[in-house]
Amino acid sequence: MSLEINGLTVELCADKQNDKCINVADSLFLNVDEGEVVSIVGESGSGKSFLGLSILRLNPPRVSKIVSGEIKIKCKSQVEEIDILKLKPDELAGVRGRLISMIFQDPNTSLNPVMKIGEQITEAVLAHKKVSKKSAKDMAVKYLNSMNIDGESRFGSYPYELSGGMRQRVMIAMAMVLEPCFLIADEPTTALDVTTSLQVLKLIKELREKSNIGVIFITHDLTVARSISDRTYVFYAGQVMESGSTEDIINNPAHPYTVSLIKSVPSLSADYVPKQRLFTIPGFLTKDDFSKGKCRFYSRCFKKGDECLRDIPLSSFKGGGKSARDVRCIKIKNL
Amino acid sequence: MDENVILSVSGLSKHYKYYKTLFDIKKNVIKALDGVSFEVFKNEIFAVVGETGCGKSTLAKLILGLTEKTAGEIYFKGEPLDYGNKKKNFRKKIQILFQDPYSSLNPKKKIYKIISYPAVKNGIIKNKKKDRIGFAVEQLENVGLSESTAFSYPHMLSGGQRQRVGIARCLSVRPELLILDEPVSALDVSISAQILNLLTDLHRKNGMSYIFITHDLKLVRHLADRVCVMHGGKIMEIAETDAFFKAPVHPYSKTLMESMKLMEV
Repeated sequence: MSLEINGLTVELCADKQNDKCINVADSLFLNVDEGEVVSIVGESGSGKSFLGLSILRLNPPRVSKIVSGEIKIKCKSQVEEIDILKLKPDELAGVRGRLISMIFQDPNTSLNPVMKIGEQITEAVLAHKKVSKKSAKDMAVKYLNSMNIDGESRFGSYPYELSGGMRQRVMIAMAMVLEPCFLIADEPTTALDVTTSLQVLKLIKELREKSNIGVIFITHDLTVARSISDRTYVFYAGQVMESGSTEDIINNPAHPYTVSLIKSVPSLSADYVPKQRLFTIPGFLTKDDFSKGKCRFYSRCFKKGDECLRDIPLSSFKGGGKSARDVRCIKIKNL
Repeated sequence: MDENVILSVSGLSKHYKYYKTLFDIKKNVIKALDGVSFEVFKNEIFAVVGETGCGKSTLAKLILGLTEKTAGEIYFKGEPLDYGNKKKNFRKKIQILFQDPYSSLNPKKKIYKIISYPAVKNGIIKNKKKDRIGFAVEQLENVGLSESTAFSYPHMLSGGQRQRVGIARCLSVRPELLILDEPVSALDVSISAQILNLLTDLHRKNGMSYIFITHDLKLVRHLADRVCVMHGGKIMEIAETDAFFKAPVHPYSKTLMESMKLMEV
């Protein structure tokens, strides 16, 4: 069981006639094994949600195009690998929800407000499986129960009757009801507060252990990434800046962007001095950062130099018996 | 009354009544805020922490007079807080910075109009275009934005820039108390550090009191002098920040701290 993305390049065009296109994903390599949680960390506008959509080919077709690459998936029941990018539309429907499922960011807007939550879950079951309505309902109730929601009594509730955390759990139940091999979670905890987001993270961890699914966890928060994932990809302007094991990256960041991200958050540790000036990354992510011929983090980097003004490759390091690490920075010679 | 107390709240309550069904005879009551008392001192950063629905935002609304209180008293510098009192002009003295910079700026107005409006209303400047632009540019410089921003519309700015405009707007009338309602929770990590630094600098420069509403204990530790932990409309614990982070006393504070530490980098 594995999901492999090889050299995925996605183009987003504001104006097709004038060729005003940017690469929101630029020759991207990523892989997830079964039972593994991989997180993608980056700030808003860096293209991480777009990547999540592109994996399921849900990216808006009129403005964006998958230029090259392949997304190979092998699930437990399959004999051969399939390439999602080569599938016909009707075959694609068998992949979405069944092999790969997705949880969207905002549970308040991604549930249908005029449909009972139970019906929304059974709808997904009936669309993919030839089962009776009765057994579809049983499955929905079972999955609601496993999300710590009383399935029998909540089956007929409307989304407005539930709290934010409960809605997110309904979303997870809906994503899990078809028992997919992979789950893409797009910022599932961002709209929730600390204690509820901990519950959701705990649920995802349990799912991973129980059903052995692979999870791609998209977030902008390194703390969340640390608490849930085995490996992390740090994403900036459509490129992977650094990837490796989560613990390694947080304890020993290499790329200037990762270093700045970690430094700019206040901490709860005992040796932290309050009220000092926080480290900041100047400016903000703009469209120009997506342009070619320079390091994409160039304009905001504290280490920048003239040698950064060309395309920077992702280079691999194997430091001191630790796990492999990829870093996209020309200034770094060793870890 | 102590000279140093800027805001004093005693026994403040807000109860919302509702009917369960259309024909319900019995009134049900939700106690959003239930007998809350505390004091905020001059030049102090007072943090209010708690999860969603604990009454943090209701507290802010009551202090701003945006909703009617059910019971209790609020005193501002020893005088009862009454927004109907035109002479005292409490509106000018207490300002708020909203959580979401995307919905708290009027999309149809240029930035200079947004920033100078409170000053025009309070008679600080005349309602002339030249005065308003001059005033707005001055305020924009304070928060680190360029002059050209004055003529843009909110949609042309990024989240961090909009939050700076929000700060410029509430500081333009020189308030004595500023309420910050989750000022950075809608922003990215790299941008929120910029805003937090700006807020600390302005606090040092202008000498105001802040009521800092948040659910993030890391920010409390970073900024606040004193912490107030709320749960279910009641205050669980008020403590000095240092003492609180060394050893929280109330069981709920401990749970909150544990869950934060689990997610610590």
